[in-house]
Amino acid sequence: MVKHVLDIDLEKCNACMRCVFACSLARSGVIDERQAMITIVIEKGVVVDIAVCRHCDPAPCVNVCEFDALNVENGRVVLDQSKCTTCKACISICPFGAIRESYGGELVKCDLCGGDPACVRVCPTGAIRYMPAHLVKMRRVGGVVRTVYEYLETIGRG
Amino acid sequence: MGWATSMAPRQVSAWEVIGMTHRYILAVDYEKCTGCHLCELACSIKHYGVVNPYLSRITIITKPEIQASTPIFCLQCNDALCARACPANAIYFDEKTGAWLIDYNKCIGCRECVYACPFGAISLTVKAEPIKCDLCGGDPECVKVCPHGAIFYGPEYEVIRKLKKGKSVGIVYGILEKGVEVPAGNRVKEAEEAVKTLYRIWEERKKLNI
Amino acid sequence: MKTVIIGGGIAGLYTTYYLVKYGYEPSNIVLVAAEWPPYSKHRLAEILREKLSIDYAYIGLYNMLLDKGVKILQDVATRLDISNKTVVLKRNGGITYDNLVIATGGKPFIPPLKGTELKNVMTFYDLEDLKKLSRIPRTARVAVIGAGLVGLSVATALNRLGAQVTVYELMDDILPGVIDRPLSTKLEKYLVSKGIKIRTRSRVEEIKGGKTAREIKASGRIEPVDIVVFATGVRPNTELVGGSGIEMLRGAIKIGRNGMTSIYGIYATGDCALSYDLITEKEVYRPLGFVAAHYARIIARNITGTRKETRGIVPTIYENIGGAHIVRVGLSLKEAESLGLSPTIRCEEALSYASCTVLQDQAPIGYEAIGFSNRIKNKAWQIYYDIHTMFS
Repeated sequence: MVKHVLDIDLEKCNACMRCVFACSLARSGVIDERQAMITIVIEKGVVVDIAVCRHCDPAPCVNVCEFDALNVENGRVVLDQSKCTTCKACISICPFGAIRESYGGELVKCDLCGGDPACVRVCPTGAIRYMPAHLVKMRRVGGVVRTVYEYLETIGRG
Repeated sequence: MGWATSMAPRQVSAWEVIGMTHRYILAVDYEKCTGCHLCELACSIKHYGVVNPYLSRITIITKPEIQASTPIFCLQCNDALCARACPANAIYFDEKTGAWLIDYNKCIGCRECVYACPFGAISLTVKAEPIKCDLCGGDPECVKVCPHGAIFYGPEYEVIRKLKKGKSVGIVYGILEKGVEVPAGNRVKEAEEAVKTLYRIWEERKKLNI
Repeated sequence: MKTVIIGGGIAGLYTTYYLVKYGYEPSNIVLVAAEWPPYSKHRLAEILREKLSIDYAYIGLYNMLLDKGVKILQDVATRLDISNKTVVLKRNGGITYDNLVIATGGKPFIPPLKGTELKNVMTFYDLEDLKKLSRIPRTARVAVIGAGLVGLSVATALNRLGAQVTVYELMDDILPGVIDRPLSTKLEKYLVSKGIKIRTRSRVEEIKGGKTAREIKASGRIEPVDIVVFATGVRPNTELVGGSGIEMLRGAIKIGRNGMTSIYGIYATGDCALSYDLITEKEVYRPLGFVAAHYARIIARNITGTRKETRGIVPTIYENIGGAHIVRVGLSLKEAESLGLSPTIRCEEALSYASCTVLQDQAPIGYEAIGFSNRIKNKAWQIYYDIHTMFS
């Protein structure tokens, strides 16, 4: 089975916050940054990070959770709210800051909206895409390809 | 973006640390590449025993309209961005072969290296496991299989000589500029002339409006 | 085979859960709980701050255990009869066991001072405290004693609600034992800018007042106060065990690597027991949720017949203190020193973010970080992985 992943391109993000609001709407029906599972980190006016779960495998958070609340299922890291006691060990260990505390100590983390992420549907610039894992690379070779084509053109081929 | 120039600023390279004077490099003469994709197949057979271009660490992008192909491969940067970006410290420099390798015991599959690489040289398999060129432990299969001799592997000076023979002046110029070797005066002159010629051709081409 | 679990907190609840998960017959489990349903203490400060319903604190897992057929007694264990393998309960009389898990938890510690029995002197430990604190007037003057994680969480929550909060701390810095000097100074500046008064190096001597506390005397200075909240730590609640022959250390139950106490068939986990530190392999008292759950799993494995031992725990702590993110993995400088190591600390600073790595012989043994933006990204996993590969 081909694993689908969220592909993030920071350079394309213009911090319009649509993904954040769409995520919060899809999760809880209200527009509220604290309920969203995706965060745009802005420092001094620059988008430095889009913090969203990478669904790592093996995942650090699953490794560190002693309560059996985080598990990898079908290539997705799933949080079982009923087992979570908000000990926040997963927040401390996540290298992406993708798990956050919401109201009442409930933890929120990306569940990929069951295969049709709301953030991807609303992103106007293509900074966040949902695609098969093996095609992620293809979005990044453009720079090299363009340079080589330009070069080949200059020397008279092409 | 220069495909043959290293990351700036150039700090003490991994090679200088281990005292190697001549680094071994893999390079491609882009003019000779015909886009036959044999290297991709060889790479996937070597590493996985199956023929599947998606399991290859080298990828050929072909644009048939202008009959040009671009192999995308790992340049084994001196100061590798993938290793810097890795949150699990899983990418390390292998002194034996001169390749940056992924330690799969440490790798958490977060794709941070794929996002960090400016060349798109790290691929993901269908299971979202990152794979990158490991130089086949010092004996690259793609070099052996290439029917047109477009991929070279060897000590840096030798590769540069070969690239020059292939009249890839631009690429050679790019590598020399990097400061590995100070080019002699006449070489600079040669290169400058070559660039001038390139520009002339380019100007003519532009008039033709291809 | 019958297993009796004393204590309905996180430790008892998760021991039951893991027993059921590893295939133990649920009808053979008896869970003796004083408070039911179980709730998480980590959520109390957040509920206080956001004025939410208490329902948010409950852990949904108990429904699943009830469905499986685990027997739950709402009762208090009063006596332990080890020779007859019996636990005497207040209402239900004696019940016999084959395996016993002691998870009686902890109790808040209040230092022996004059005036701690007054009406508006309280702790911040359980749901009752939460209910009391959520009813205080909006602009009350609150003195929080102890600048640990609990103390600062409740201080920032009350500050957000409009109270005038003063935090008293005996040590030189706030969050002693969690983070070290350069970072705690930053946090202190941040909290002061939020309007919280912080008095470090001040020993609370007396709480004055008639029926209710009116003034607090700390290091000679007297300040008026409406509410006094003690957040001076947790002590093991082991009255049940006293005199039964189970080996104890500094009031906490000693356990082995498999979670068993000095008496065969009796296990202990949670805030009433000691735990092992992975790096130094020493016994430490860490009243933390994941420590309890870690030993709960080990104990469940041993009771169900799979022999399992743990070498120890690397603490992983995160807390959001009024918008500042605190991350700690492994040992802090002070904790490492108190465990007999001679560590060094290396700090680096970035935009709105600062972190320190604690090193012992050039090898990382701890990491602590503080961030003030909405960025929680950190290097904790690298350090955690290195510690685990090095020490286990």
